[in-house]
Amino acid sequence: MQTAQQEFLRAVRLLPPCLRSEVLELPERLTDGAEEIRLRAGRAPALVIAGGETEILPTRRITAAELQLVLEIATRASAHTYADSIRLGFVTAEGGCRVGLCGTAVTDENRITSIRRLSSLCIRIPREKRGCADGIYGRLTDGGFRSTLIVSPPGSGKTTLLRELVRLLSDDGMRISLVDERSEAAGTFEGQPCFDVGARTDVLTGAPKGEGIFLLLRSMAPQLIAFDEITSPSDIEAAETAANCGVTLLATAHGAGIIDLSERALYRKLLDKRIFDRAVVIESKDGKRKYSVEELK
Amino acid sequence: MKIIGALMLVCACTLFGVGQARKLYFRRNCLAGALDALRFMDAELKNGAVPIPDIFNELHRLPETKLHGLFENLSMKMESFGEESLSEIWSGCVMNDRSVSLSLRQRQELCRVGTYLGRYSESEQSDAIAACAEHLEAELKRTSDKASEGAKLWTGLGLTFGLMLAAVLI
Repeated sequence: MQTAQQEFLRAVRLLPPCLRSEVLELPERLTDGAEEIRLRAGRAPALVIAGGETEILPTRRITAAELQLVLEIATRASAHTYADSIRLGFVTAEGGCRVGLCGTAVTDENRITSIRRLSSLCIRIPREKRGCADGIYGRLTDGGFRSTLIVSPPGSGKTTLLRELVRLLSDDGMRISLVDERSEAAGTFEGQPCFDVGARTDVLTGAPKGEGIFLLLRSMAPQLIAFDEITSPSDIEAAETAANCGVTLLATAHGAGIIDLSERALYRKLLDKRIFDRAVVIESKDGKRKYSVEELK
Repeated sequence: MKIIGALMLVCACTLFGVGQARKLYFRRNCLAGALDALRFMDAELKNGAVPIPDIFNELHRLPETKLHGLFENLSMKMESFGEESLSEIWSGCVMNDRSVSLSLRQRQELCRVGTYLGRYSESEQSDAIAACAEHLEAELKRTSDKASEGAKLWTGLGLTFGLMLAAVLI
């Protein structure tokens, strides 16, 4: 398991050398709790801590060339191998650090084909928090683990909890397939997950969730399929198919709670289908997270 | 003694001429090597979307290439990538590698490829490579003609100069 400082260092490695050395001099109280590094051309760099942005190095101004160099480092100077994800606005670098991109969109027939002249970058620092599921694991596995949906607003630790639950269930003997579309959950780099996702977990990286679920159903015969962020009807359709095949599901969704989910058309449809038996709702207050388990059926 | 001295003088001058001729052929071979490397890069980008460091590695491992040293240097620098941009690394290696014989203009043309490498889509990188290859092909033709004419000229001049010098000194 990595320490908070090591996890931060992994993200800092993506920065240009002179900026990297300045960021490394920041006090640990800032860096240990950092969730994201925000870089904007012509502005000072900032850290996202407990949901809020803190400007670091106030006199330092980020240049467009530095933003470009971050992208080059993240893609190992091979942006063409990341064309699909750049089109979607992010790249996932070594160690599962997701770099969100913003700049001038290149379009073709009203579709974004690439992003040029970067203006802002958001480097997410993936955290492995062992033990974060300890308080709810017993309740979730009581009488056998059933399909569970993790619900929380963005940046509240859905992926971290998903990863931890996958690890615990996998080490407890469950054969799990993880559809890791953006390489965030397992942090796969060159075929090897950077995070511990358990002994019996097979990771499919880079595939769209819908297609990935079908592929894993055919190829890996999983007992549980885990995936991050249900965002489209095709994800729900694939999840329904998997559930109908007798596979247990573990997934995440953006929302403040079950009521919030049920007020949105996509998620209302998901709840109506009764694919998931339980929900874990994450509430974040002053940087602390509270997990509550709710029955859905 | 005089005859031996004269013979040595003729040999030395001829060897100098041959050396100059070989330099011309070496430049031609380097240009041909650069063109082969560009074609290889283009194929790897188009057909396999291979990452740039892997392409450099493959090119450095290819035997019998005149640009072996250049790509070895590039591969080494890519191992600690992050200090400079690829464009800076590429132009630094292309402009400063003395194991390769290329004119300043040819080096500058190669440097232009570096501003596209790894930064844009395969097709844009491929277009930049094609533009550079076109220029280098014309240069290769010119250099080949120059090499075959120049080689004869330098060897003949060396021999003639040696003979004349020997005749004068004897």
